[in-house]
Amino acid sequence: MDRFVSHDDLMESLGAYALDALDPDEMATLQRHLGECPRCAAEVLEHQNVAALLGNVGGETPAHLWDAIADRLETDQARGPDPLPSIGGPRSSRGSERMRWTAQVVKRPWVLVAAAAVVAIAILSLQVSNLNNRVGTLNSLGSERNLGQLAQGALANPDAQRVTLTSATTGRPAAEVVVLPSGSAYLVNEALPALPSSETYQLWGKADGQLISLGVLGNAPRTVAFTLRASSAYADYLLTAERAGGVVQTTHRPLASGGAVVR
Amino acid sequence: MDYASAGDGALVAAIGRWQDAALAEVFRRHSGAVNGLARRVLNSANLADEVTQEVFLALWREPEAFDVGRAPLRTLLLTKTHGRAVDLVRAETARHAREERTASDRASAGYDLERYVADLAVAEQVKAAVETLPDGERQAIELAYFGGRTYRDVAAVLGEPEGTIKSRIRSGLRHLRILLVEHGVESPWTDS
Repeated sequence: MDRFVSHDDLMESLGAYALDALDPDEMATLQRHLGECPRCAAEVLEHQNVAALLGNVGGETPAHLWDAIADRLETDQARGPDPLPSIGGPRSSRGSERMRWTAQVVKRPWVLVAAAAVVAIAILSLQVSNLNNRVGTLNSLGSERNLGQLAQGALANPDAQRVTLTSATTGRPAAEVVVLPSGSAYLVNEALPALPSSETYQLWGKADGQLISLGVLGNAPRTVAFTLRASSAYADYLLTAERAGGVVQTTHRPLASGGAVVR
Repeated sequence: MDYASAGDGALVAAIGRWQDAALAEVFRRHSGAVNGLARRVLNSANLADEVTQEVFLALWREPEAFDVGRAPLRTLLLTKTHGRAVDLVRAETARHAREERTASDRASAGYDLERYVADLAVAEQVKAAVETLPDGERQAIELAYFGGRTYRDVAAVLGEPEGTIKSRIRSGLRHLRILLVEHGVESPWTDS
């Protein structure tokens, strides 16, 4: 956007950004900048903390609200069969223990055992771990500001690499991968169906004939952020369906794949 | 796991494992603040309830987007709440709805009274700090944050240049942070 021609101009907007007081186009411009400027991202976080204190006006919660949320949880496709707890009732741990958070999954013992057994797998496992941690980090950076908007900003960046992943079954676009020059990257789900909760999508990059895990995306991903080393954009990206938690090496055919990165 | 005594970070991690009871505990702790802010910005109980539901369902569906290592969960929830409330304020439908001012549904649900009292104490200190800001900064921040206005709108309301309002918002937030640090209320929601 023309108004923002310098870093100083961008910085002057950080307060308004934290208060959601920018116009949409200015917001998108600044969001792109925040993905690449830790200094400004840190200042926004400070402003957001102050804003949260301002907004901490408090009050009583309407009685029906939890019931309404609980009803929505019950219809949520990923929810299990366990009964929902009452707000005022016992707070014991009785929900199902389905794993869905990829940052935790890579620490599971079976991954470590596999990594210790085979050196090559160990290297891949480490990459999975590192990359998944990065997924969590970058996801959080964009959390309050709508990850979808961040991804749309990346898609509009002429310097970004874009890869359309085509469904192996329909032949139609299923997802879009966009990689910024900084290494910040996004996967945008366009037509990937939800998998059973016992499975997860896993994203792979192909380099020198080998598949490198770029992240475990969950069974119903929408927009996912991840990070690549700036020099390691892949020519091909693939999506597979794996058991929940992901795998170190896949033996499955890709559900969607794409290449021919355009810079 | 005893969720009542768990820190917010542990609760979010449990939500990541689909623990409904963990979400219930987060709701008990923070829903009053979420709903209160939404109500303040939207001036509509019904719309505030919608926003509150959206925020907690977002936490349920995408807990990884609430990085409690980066900021207190209360901050993350209120930031999301404000963003969504502002979206609604700026929508034409909400402009009509907020005129209606419904004040129903005030009955108490599962509610963390102790936390509310602590919040009130913090709110008093924040209010006192805000009152010490220069008028220009205070007005710009209040109109933008609680009014859901863009800085351009605020500039029009106050009859000031847009750049001036942007600067005042930023400098006001910085001044406020310094004041809050001096009063020891910069980070009242650190995880337990």
